[in-house]
Amino acid sequence: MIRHISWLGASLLALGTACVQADPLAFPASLQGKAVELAPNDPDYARAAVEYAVKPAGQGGVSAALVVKITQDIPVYRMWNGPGDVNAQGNTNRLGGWWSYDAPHGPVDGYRVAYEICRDWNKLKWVATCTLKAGAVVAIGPGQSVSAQTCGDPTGAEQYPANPVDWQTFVNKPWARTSELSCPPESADYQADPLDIAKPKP
Amino acid sequence: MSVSLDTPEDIANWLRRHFVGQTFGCVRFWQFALVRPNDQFFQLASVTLAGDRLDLHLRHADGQGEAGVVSVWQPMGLSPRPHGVALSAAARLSWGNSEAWQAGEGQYRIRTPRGEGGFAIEGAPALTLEC
Repeated sequence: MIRHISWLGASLLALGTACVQADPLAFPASLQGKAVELAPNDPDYARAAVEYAVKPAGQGGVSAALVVKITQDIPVYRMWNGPGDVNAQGNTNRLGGWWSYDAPHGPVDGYRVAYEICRDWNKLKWVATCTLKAGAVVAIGPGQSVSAQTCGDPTGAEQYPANPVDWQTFVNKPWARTSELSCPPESADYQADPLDIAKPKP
Repeated sequence: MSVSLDTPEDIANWLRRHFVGQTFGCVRFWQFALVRPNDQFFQLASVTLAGDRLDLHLRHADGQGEAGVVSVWQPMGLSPRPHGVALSAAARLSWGNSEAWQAGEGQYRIRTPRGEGGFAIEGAPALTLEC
């Protein structure tokens, strides 16, 4: 099994001086039969840009990553600010690097913690469902911790622990990968009920 | 590797020559990440100087237009990185409605719409633009 080299270092940082058993990442059951792991010497491996996904403790991203090639189309999900939140150029954050292959569910506050998303980074109001196409190469892995300094919370309260359970999907520069990530029109998205983001807001 | 650039003019010229058009997804003032790392991507479009203030004009890397101006007062110590660039020190920085400034030995403060607070620098560069 091939692992990104930052994994052990990041784990040690996260766990301080505790004795660490460096368990390797297990291929997620929900992707069995839908994706295959790539080795670093695979010609497609670099497309995942795994070095952009794996970050040290406290800085978000993922703590370790597998590079996978999708073998059958799968849905991927992303929460975003919504069509009414545009910058001066009329742009939204509907497309971005971070996605999940597990459908969003439960309270939005729980989702924010599970995916380590600082409040200033994303309002998590709407859900977009796109398709990661067969042949796509992406990095997946458990979310890295985010410190209060990284979030920029002056009170020091907003911080998120690493989460080994809810894995993230990193699609590097998605706007340039339309053959790998296919999204429907915005009208297919829904404004999420903050109490259960699997459902549209009543 | 630190490039020996001691003046804002030298730093501006180096950035114009080597970093305009480069794509990055992390923007940090010391350890404060102003955007989720590598979620949205930006490019340095141009660099201007106003006295000791360096203005870095950003655009969205996906071609969707301008992304604002990162201003850096009294920039020092440019360091190319494998996937970007960093400035070791600055008196103050701003981007949109967020700003940060050095506040005494080993400390910096930030002000955002959420309020103001201080943190330890802990060796972090004043500005990091990288993936």
